[in-house]
Amino acid sequence: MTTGVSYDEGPPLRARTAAAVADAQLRANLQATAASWAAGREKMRDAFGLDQMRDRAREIRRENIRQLPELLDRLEERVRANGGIVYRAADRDAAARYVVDLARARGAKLVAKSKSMATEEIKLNEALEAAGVRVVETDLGEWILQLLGQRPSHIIAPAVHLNRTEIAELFRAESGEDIPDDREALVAYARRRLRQDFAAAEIGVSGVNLGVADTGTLCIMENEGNARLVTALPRIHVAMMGAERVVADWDEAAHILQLLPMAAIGDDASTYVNLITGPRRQGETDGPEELHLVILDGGRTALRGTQFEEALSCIRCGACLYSCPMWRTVGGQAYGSPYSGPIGAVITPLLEGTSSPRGSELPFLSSLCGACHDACPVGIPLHDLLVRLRGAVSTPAHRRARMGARVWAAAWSRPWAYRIGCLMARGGLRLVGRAGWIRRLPGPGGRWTSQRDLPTRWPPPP
Amino acid sequence: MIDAFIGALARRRATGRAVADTDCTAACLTQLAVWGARRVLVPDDPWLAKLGLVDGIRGAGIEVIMWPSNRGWRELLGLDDAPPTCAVTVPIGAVAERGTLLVGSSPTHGRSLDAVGWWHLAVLRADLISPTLAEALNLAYAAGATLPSAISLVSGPSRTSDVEKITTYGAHGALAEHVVVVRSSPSG
Repeated sequence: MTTGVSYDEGPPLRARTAAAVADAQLRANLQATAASWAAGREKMRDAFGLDQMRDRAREIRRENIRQLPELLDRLEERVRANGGIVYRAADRDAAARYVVDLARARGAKLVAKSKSMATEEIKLNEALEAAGVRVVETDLGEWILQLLGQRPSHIIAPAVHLNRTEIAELFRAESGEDIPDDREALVAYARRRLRQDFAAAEIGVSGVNLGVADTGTLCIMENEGNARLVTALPRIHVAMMGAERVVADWDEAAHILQLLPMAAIGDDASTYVNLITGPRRQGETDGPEELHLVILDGGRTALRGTQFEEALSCIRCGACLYSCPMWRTVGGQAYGSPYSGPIGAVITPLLEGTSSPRGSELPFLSSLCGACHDACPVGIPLHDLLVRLRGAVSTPAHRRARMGARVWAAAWSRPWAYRIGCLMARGGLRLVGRAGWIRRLPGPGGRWTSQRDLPTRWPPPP
Repeated sequence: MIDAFIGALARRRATGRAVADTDCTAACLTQLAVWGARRVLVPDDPWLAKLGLVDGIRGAGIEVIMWPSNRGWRELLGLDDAPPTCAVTVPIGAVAERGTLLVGSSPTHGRSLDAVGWWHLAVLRADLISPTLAEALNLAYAAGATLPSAISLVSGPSRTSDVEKITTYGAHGALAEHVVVVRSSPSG
């Protein structure tokens, strides 16, 4: 099984997006997916008053973030009181190390995972496999990608860029069995195959959608039932939670738990929500004997009180991805980050800094159309955050570009300088052009003429 | 409220019917026959015993495994050619608005009970239905109560949309769900 694909390697962003745009099958899959999401979403808007729910959700999440330290303390205290173990990981490495050390200490050979973005963020699979522990993703989409050695292209629907023929070929290669390429047969095969791993795994790893501070309960949403089994059958359950994913009480939890599937998949409920309040109790015969809650900071709490604080309100529904014309064109993998789409372009640089290649590039992978803000169920002004992030990016290339823009602005705000500039430009164009047209501009202007010709006088010659 | 709940079940691609407590066993047997279930996993719950459900199922010639059970996970999960199992649950609450069951854990009612089986048959006391999720959760997690180590909110059969974004049932949990809503008779 291949999981050694790293986000940081590979060609630059422009090459990745160009490759994605050239892939017609990928685009067709993405467009179909986004269209079905939009249809479900419209239904929800009419049936449940999505817009009113969104106003309340925004208030809840902003208040949660304001009180984050107190809520996290309360959550930790309650989880401990319920018999769980809590570890606060300051950064990604610490979080991954905790799980690897735990697997080593308990002699675990097999880890069964349900879907978790936080474990993608900390590259848990790579860390565990480097330590000789086999990791199996049990969400169907994630499992397909694991078999392929690929990364998720959507927060909720990781394998949306693949069709059933491609998946059937993969399963046939994996099993050596003759599996027809109809959906029921593919799902039945995965069910049978992954049950072996649920029965054998010593550790189950899940994400956490919400922690409820009042009772120390972890909420894990899903449709397939794999998280039920991951959190019930193995002897140890490790729940990996982003530090911002906490609400105060059950009124708030109920609101977010109802809103999330409406925004994410255009449905009024997910099939399962696992509400976990501690490990197995005296007399119970399933549920883990040990429950470990890892609270991952990784740059999150430092965003409180900054102009980017609202990014912490995110409940990871993936609605902004479907709504984004960029994501619908290039898909999630081109972003080169576990978090793609508008929210990915915002939180990747916020969590990693704007000096890394992807941290400095991603804020520019947006047309700033604002569709993401409309789609966001907690009302995060993603397009505003993108603009502010662009201002915060400070690589040498961006500094040069900003300097150039300042010089240009200074020149063109003086009429005499503007006129001299125009005269020089016109003279220059005539020198380079032939018969009133320029086919290719030299230097930085070359990008302009790579797609079109430039007339040297107005009106242009026929 | 019962009608609203059963209506919501249909939207969740589950089915349900309301019966008097004396008719509960018959309703359950009818559904087991519809599915063709030959093996049933049942929580060791005094209320089910009082309803006569376990004896009724055995009497119909269907194998009954009581929870807790000493069988291994592989068998309960249906591996190694074990026959497909129908899991019976006794929810601790339900939500009329969304057709959601609150399935709680206890020594006699495993947290994975309905997810290991191939079908899910819930036997729900009618007076446990709340109008909204917030009310149901606030009841379940009321201050001072002993909280179950796990509650699963179950809204219909297990499904996935990971293949071409089209819903397919029976991913890892139950392929189908049926709820028998039991109205208690005046004497009971």
